[in-house]
Amino acid sequence: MANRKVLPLEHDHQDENFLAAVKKIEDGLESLEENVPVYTPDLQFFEHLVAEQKQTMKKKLIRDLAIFTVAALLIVSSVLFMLYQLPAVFFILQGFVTVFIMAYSTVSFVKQVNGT
Amino acid sequence: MEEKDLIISAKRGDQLAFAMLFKNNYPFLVKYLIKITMNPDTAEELAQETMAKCVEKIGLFNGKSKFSSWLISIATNLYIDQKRRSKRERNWKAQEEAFRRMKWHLESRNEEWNDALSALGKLKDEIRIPIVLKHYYGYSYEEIGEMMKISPGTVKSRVHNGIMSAREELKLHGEQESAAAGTRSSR
Repeated sequence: MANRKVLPLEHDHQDENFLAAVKKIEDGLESLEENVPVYTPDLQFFEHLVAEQKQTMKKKLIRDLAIFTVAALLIVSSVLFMLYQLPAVFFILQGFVTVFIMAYSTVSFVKQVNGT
Repeated sequence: MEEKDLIISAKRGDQLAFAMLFKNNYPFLVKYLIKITMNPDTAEELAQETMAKCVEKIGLFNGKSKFSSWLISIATNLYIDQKRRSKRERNWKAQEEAFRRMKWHLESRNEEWNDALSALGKLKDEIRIPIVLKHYYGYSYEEIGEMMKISPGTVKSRVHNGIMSAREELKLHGEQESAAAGTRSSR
């Protein structure tokens, strides 16, 4: 019991220091908030910023769509070429992809089970 | 027009609504960024990047939190990502210059430079940010965790350790002990 009387006092002292540090930090941040000037641009500046960003997004979308279309066309045409000109290679590839997907799924599943 | 209506219009692609939302929240955002970056120039640059990101992601804003909280969340992640990407050595000279400018701003308004700000500036970003969010803006550990994509427990320990480091830096422990010793000897 005698020991228990000392411990709370130490904690109180620590808490006081902790709260004093928090208070100092809050005061410091408050003085930053109040005294560092921030210039807010006019409405036109923000409108311009939004328009510019929308333009950039549009350009990015067009570029991504173009890349996707070209890649898709390349893949489809090469698969069709293989199917009609090299059917053996086509079926080997089909088999290889199926085995790969099954193996990958099994490994992922086993990892997940072992992990939990 | 209320903020809710502005957000609905912005989601429909209204540029003026976007601009009004940004204008209303700009000082809040920049002041938050000044507190976490300790650099007014970086804060302004990041604020503009945050707004650009916001235009891109407005469709994902669900309206559960305030718009300003959402902006803070985007800004925080942008800042952390930028820091992570540019793992170049910290430019101490530039940081020193930014500190001096902020000191000058405060002193020109007859405000003393608070030692706590220096102590806060010496902390790592991932520790300083939760301290600012918790003890200045009053967000809960859960909210900060969601903003920074870390667990509430991690936020809590970072805030606690950060305050302890700041306390050491401020020599609060020593001050109080010496004050106590002084009163003891005077008795």
